[in-house]
Amino acid sequence: MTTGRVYPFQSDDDIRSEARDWVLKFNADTPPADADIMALREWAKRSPTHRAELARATAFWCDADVLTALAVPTDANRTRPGSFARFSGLQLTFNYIGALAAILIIKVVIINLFW
Amino acid sequence: MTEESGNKQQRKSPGFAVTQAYKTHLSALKRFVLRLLNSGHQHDVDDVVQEAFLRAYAAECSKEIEQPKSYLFRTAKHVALNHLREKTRRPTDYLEDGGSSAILASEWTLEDEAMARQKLEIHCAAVATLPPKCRRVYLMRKVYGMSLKEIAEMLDVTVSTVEAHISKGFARCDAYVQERMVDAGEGRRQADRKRRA
Repeated sequence: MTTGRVYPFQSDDDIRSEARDWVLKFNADTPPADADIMALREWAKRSPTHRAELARATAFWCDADVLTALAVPTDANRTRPGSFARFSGLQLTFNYIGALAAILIIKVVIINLFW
Repeated sequence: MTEESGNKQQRKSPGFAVTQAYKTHLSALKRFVLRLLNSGHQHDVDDVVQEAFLRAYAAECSKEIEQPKSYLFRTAKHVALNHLREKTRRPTDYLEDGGSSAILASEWTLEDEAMARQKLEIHCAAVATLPPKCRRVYLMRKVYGMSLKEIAEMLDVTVSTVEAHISKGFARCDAYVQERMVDAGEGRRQADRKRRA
C-alpha cells in the first residue's frame, strides 16, 4: 500500500514516545481540536506499530486511573473546616489497609501532597 | 418467626431505608463526594450524589439493605471514582475505526476489584520510583484528576513545567509497568516449565 508520503525512519522507542505525547495532548485541559484529530489519524495510518502503540499508551493511561482509589476520605462527618477550606481533598485516609509496601509509600506521599 | 414475616416488618416500602438515609445525610454525602472529586464543579457533585441515590434506591427495591447510610456512601464513592476515570480521554476513540476500544471504555465494576488491586500495587510501585517533584505532579493529575492549570497554580509553576513532569512520569511509569509485566510473564512460563519437567 502506498500512502503517497515518505516518513523518516522511526525506531519503536520514537513511536512509543510519540504515542504517549498523543495521549497527553488529548488529555490537555481543553478537548482536542479538529486539527489535532486529523493529525492523529494521519499519524495512526503510518503503520500497524503506530496504531498498536497508541492503543498501548491509551490503555496505560486509563489503567493508571486505578490511582484514584487512593483519594478516599473515609469519614465525611469528621470534616475540619480549616483544612477543608484550604483544599477540599486534604483530609485523606484510605480504604486499602493492605500491607503492600508500594501502596503505603504512595499513601504517605499523598498525605503530604498539598502541603 | 418465619423469614417472610421478618421481611414484612423491615421492608416498609421499597427504597424506604435508603431514602431516609439520603434525607438525613445529604449534606455529609455531598461533602464526601466533593472531597473525592475535589477539582470538580458543584453540578458534578450533584450528578454523582443523585446517581448514587438512584442506584442505592434501585438496589433496595430488589434486596434488603442493612446499613443504608454506609451503602449510600459506598455507592457514592464508586460512582465518584467512575466519574473521575471517565474524564480520561482515549485518543483511540477518535480514530476512524474507533469503537475497537469500547470494551476498555466500559465502566469498572465490583468484579474487577481484585484486578484493580493488583494494578494499583504495580502503579504505586512505579510512581514510587519517580523523583519527588515529578511524583507530586503525577499524583495530583492521576489521583485527583486535577487540571494542568490547577496543578500549576497550586505549585506556582508554569503549565509547561507541569506538562513536562507528567510526560516524564508517564514515560517512566509506563516503562516500569511494562517491565514488571514481562517479568511476571517470564515467571509464569518458568513455573510452567518446572511443573512439566
